[in-house]
Amino acid sequence: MARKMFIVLAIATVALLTGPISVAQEWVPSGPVNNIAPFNPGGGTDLLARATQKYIDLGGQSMFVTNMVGANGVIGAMEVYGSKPDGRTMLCHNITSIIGSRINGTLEVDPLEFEALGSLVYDCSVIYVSADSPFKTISDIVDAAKKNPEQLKWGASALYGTNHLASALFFELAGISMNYVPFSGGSQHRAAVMGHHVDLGYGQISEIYPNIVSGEIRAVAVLGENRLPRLPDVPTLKESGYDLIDGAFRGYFVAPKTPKNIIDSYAILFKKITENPEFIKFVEEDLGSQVLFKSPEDIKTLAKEQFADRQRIYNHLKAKEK
Amino acid sequence: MELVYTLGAGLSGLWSDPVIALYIMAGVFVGMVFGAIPGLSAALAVTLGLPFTFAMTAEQGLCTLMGLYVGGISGGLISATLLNIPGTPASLVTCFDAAPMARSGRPGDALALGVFSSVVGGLFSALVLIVIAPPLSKVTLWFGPWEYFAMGIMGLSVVISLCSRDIIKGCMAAVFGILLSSVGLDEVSGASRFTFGYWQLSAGLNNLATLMGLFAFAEVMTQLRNLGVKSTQIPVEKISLFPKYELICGHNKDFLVASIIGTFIGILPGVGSGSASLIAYNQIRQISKEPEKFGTGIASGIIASESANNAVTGGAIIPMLTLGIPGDVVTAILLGGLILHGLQPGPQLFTNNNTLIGVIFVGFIAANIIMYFMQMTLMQGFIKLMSVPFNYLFPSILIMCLVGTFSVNNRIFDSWVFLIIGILGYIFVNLDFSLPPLILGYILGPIVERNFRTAIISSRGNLGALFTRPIAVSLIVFGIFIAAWPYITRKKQKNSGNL
Repeated sequence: MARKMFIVLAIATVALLTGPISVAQEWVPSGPVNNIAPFNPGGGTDLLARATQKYIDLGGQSMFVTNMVGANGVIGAMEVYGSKPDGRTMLCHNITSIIGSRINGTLEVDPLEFEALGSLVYDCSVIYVSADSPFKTISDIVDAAKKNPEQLKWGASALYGTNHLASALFFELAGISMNYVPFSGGSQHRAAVMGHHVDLGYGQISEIYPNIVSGEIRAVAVLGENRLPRLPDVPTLKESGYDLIDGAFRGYFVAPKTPKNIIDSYAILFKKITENPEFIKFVEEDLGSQVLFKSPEDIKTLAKEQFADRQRIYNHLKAKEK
Repeated sequence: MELVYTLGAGLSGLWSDPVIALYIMAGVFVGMVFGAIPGLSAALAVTLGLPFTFAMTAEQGLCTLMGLYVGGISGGLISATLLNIPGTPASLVTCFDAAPMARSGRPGDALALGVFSSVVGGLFSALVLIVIAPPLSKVTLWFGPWEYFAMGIMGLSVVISLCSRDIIKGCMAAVFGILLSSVGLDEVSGASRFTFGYWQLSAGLNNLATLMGLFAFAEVMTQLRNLGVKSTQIPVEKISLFPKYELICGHNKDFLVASIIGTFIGILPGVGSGSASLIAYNQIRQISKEPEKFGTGIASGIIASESANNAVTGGAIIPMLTLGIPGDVVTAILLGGLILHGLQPGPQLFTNNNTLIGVIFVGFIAANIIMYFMQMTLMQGFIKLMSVPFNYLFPSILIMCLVGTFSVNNRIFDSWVFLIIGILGYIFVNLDFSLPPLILGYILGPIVERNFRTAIISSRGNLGALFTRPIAVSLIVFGIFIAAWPYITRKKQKNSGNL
């Protein structure tokens, strides 16, 4: 009897001691959370923001999505940068783009100042061609480019933007040169590839996935660590011997100086979303991308690496221009 | 066959979401209210309607906007007929003959004929839209940077024929429009332009805020001067559901010519319904057996104007859907509506969103038919609307604009853009610059610039590459022809001595 009593008391004590601690860790926003998507409705960023709104569990508080479009996401980023660090305003964006905006001078603040909450989706970059193109593999492309330097037309987005910097890194690795043709957006270079106005295209999988499914476009290589779950036949660039990872790690950021307990709580909530089968199905089937959780620390490390790499290639490109 | 499938998809889309029909009706009704009241234009109706469509599905939103467009353009004939003031700029030419006919004791006939001509023009253009748009969307894959560049140049050349009265001022306005559009991040090189180190400007001037400023704010300010001006309204007896047979019989050719001209002008980027009805009016007068009767209240004159300006609507939607290039100002706003719903206009829209295209086709036809019956049955009500005092109307419109510009992108900054551009627009109008060339420059400038730069990079700086592209060259030649047209006709008139 006494022994039983002791166990009950012991359990109660443990419960009493740990109870308050776990309550302190679990932070809940004090009101509705504003999820700022700095790109047009219907794009990869906006769709992730809306899926997050659907699947997140904020302990009774609601989340709403605000589209604040402009200057490659800088307008929305600045809004979040200047917001209160109380975890109630967040930015749905990707670190590569934020760094790109910093490097080309649009973003006036240091991207590393934003506190990352983790990323949920990896929208990896793809080298693609029209369905009837003679280029079947990366070595076809590299051989052709070596035979005709500067002649192949490589369609992608704006000069000195993230796609340009990553493309330049690839050209450098492969020792080739191509004619980089800048378009104003994904749907423009996609149409140019389909209409044979350029030989190759470079963009993110969510921009071209529907056209891959409909058979108008063929992906030659993906720039992720692993092959995409929905495109198991498309090799990674790494498999061809070029160690280059590029793509958008889509996730969330909050204002500088946001307390650590808020960041940790969100990281747990986001990780939970990435384990939700409905969310996984949505990302893979509708976007063609893949669910990949990266913790706030991972994003920070990645940011530092990418910043250095891309700043170097940017300076290199700018020097070549002169 | 594919067409039947698209239309079927559209019909079933409408059937499965009956709310769309209600939205079209509401759109047509509100559009007609805006059209009927002088000073409130169809462009304003669509602009103010856009923020309301955010919460709708893409199908519902676009159908509402198209309803506003069709209703707004046709509603303008009421005040043109009864007050001799165009209710919307598109119905300016309607005044020429509808007002005299009304004054000579046949206001009911004039109104009925105007509405009937509207529906004929609208349905004709709907037919062209449905037949031409899907195959044209396949051709658009042939459109590369050079072709889009040439298309933009062709659109810009319209500036010259738009403002043949003062070409210098027209070109100045167009250049100013191009300058406005170049504010912000350059989409080819990623460089910031005209931002003066102010990050808010790096997103450029929001399209909708700029268009609303130019149209709504400048327009309201201009109209304020007419406050208190009394106009004489002609009383109307009850009108029948269909115009008298003798009014329309024998005018088949007029209906056809006006509809063809209207649709064609609608397809050309940026010309707009006002010029379409003027061109159709002149053309029909030339082929008429009794040209001297034009301007005295002849049926052909009403048919020319109203069929043509409604035919523009369907025509203008064609390049918007297939190329992403708006045919007129209203479709520029419709284009904004498409993009807001996450849809990229162009060939992919036809392959990926076949149901939406079908709903647009069917909805457009429905809007025209609803317009006809609504206007015929509710005519007495619309006539009363013309006496609503502006003291109440204008402040509420400005408030709607401020809320609307904010809600597009959730930025207060855009409301400031609206106000400042509006004041600039007002100054422009007062200095006798016309706004359409400015808008053309604003819309087409970036298309020309971006595509030219992409094209020239793609051809490694070789301008000669343009001449290897037959579509691009013919578009530019056609543009030169459009620009030269006013001179050619003027010379012809001088030679024949009937100036």
